[in-house]
Amino acid sequence: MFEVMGHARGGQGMVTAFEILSKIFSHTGEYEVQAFPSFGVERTGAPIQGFLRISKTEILNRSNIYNPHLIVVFDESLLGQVPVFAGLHEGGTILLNTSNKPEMYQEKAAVVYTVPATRISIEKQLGSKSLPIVNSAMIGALLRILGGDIEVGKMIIKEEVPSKPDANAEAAEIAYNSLSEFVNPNPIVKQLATAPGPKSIIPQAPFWNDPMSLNKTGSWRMSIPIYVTRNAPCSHHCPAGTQVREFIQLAAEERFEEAYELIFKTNPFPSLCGRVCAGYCEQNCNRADYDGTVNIRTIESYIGDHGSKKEIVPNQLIFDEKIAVFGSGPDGLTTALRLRQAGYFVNVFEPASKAGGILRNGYLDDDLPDELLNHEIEKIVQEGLEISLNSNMQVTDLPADFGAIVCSENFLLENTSLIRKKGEISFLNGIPVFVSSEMNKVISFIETVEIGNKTAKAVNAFLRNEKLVAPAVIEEIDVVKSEEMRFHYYESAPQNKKRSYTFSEVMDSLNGTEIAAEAARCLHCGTCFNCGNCYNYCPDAVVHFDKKNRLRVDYEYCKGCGICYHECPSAAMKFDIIKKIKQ
Amino acid sequence: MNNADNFLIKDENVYSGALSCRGCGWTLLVRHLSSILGEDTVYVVPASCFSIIAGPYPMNSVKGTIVHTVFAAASATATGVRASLDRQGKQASKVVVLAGDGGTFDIGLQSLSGAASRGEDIIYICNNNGAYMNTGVQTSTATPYGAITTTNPAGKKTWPKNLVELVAAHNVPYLATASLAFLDDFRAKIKRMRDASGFRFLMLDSPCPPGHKYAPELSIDISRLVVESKLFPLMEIENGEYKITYFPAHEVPVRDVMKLQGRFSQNGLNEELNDIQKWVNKEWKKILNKSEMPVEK
Repeated sequence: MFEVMGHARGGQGMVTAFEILSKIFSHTGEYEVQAFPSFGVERTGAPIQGFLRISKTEILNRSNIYNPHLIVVFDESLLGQVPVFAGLHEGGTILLNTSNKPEMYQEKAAVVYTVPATRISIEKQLGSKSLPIVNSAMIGALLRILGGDIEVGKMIIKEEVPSKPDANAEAAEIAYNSLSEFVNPNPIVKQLATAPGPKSIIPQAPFWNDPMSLNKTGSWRMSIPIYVTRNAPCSHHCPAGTQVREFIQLAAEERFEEAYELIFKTNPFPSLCGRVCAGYCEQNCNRADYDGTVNIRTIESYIGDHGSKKEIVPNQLIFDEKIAVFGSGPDGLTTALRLRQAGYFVNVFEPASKAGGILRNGYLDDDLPDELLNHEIEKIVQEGLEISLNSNMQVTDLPADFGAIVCSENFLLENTSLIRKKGEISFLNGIPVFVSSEMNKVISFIETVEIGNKTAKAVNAFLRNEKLVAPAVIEEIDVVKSEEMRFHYYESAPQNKKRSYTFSEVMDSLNGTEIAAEAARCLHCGTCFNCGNCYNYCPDAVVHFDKKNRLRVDYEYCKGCGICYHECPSAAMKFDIIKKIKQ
Repeated sequence: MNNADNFLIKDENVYSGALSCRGCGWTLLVRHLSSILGEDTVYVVPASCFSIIAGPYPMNSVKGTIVHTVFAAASATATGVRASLDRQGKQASKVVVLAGDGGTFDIGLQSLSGAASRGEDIIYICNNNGAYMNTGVQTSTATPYGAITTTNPAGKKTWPKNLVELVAAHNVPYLATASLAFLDDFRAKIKRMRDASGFRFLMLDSPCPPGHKYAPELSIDISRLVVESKLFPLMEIENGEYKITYFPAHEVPVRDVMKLQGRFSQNGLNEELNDIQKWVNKEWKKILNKSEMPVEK
């Protein structure tokens, strides 16, 4: 008589596997068989045991198996949780479902077999991501060890499995052929350990009302839910890298001053940008697939008009180098502002009688009201810029006490040799020259602003002798897609159509409350907004707030059902299989 | 952001570590129920998944008292518990039956009928997942048309029993249906039941990943679609007055819900889908008509 004991998790199909094996062996009429599970609670993911007896004579023993000749482990993660090898017969054999080599387990038994059943089952799409069903593959491996006929095996598997008969039979055949064996040359003869009965979690001394929390259900988990903050499409697509999702949130709470400060960090022209920008943020807004995008530009222009501080105190001058910026267009002003904020003295030279450059005489001049432009430029100048208007200062005439020159290409027409490739810096009378925007190249307003930001960084890095850190190259940036959103959790609220597309608008066409209401339509893509779904829908009460008041999962008890992840409206959770299956 | 109101459970009255499957509807039901009813509650549990989930003696997954009883006698046991508590002067303690559909529709029906007719002061919660899931998915009279069970491997060919009407025929003061995907509605009904007296009955459409055969993360999504498709209307009947508490926002064909569940995956069901859709529409129309009927006050 040959006795087999199996360890698995509920739902992996071990009981069915043993039944099918017994049918395969009894098929010829040569063997008597027995297959049964240990009596107890079987729940998806919980550790369970099963038994199989094969004999050429009648089997009279109907008890559990305590000293099996072969121990089969259907789930690798059980090794650390259950004493799976206890009770193995002297000279006995073990079979593990793992991608590891059998040598790794040579101390456990005289003969060790391994088979990558989980990988095979995932390839054949048997079961789900949270629970691959490995039983057919394990039948194949067991048939090889027990000397069964794989063709009979495949036939009976096809008859017995409830779905995907062909895929199951193929999985068995692949496993039959991919079994690895290790025979221990000097098996350490150990005293037989006695197999424990079903491990009892009931305490010895009876007392009433012990909480079930003694039972750590975290060991059932195959996949793990995690809170993450992901990139929102609006912020991701902004050329200047403005934190759109975040400033919209501040606007929704009518915190317009903070919102202004946040935008100002990457873009000092919120009033203008809200009116003239191409709106990459809005073009990519996920709400477009629900009931219309969030009116981001109108919100931004409102913040620009109303959020700026009344009094601005310029930063202290820290460095000795003086910077000359030629031209007061959006790029020049942005560069000047950033360098002044960093602590440099900055002088802006503008040949015209008013600051603004292309904003005054370029593509916007017909519509752009002066007061709007003046408001924006005034705020920037107040940060401590020195502006020389009607200046006829030439790049070549600059006094030698300046530490750097910033200008666009059209200031270098007579000195085109100074225009260098990216990354190279040219010198004029010993002063480094930084070229901001290129000539005759039409780019959008916000991209011009970003050139200003970048030029300032380059100047500062050169003067401070620092290396510019290139942004890490990420193969695929994780941006929340529309299909990941759960729109039905958001109240439908059509877009407020009032817009500031042109400058002929009546200023203040939307009031603060209306702006906040429009901002409240934000879906919070990729970030938690405390909707409560993960907490409310958790069947196992494992979602809680930690000491820092963040939502977290208690992994000691989380069974890994994935409801929290699936019901997260804003796709701010991930749910991944714990161990990457080795290929 | 102050969104404390979004977190519905203020007093957690269950322990983590319960012996339920992943994505179980029972545990989520009891988690919300116990948070509303409080610790001074006696749960009477006939044979069902919850007998296991509650834990082996002396362990307990719910703060409160659990009385395990036999399949056929949940309501009778609850009657006795109620009488005993009343005798001890503990009128404030709640007595709740937590039964599955097998223990309600089939084996526990006579006991339920008796207690409902006598007007016992108990709350009866039926967790309807449409089969005997604890013993490995056998057909009950709540099993929907077309569902595969181990006793109907080709799919059930009869319609499920209309238990709501059956209990309503006992003229109980309050009766409702609820779904875990609509927590506000569900919790409001539990609160109504807590504050009322007499025989109160609630039937919950419960998701069951191993029994309905789908990945556990879909539990809530499927529950929501079941209501949206009118397969399980959310309603209440108070003193004979019908009221639909949720009108589906979008037209969801039953086909869309059924294809998500492995128990409806058998060949041949496609041709019967029209019949199922017609039946669902007819049942909805019946409730709609009743809810529009004026009732003399």
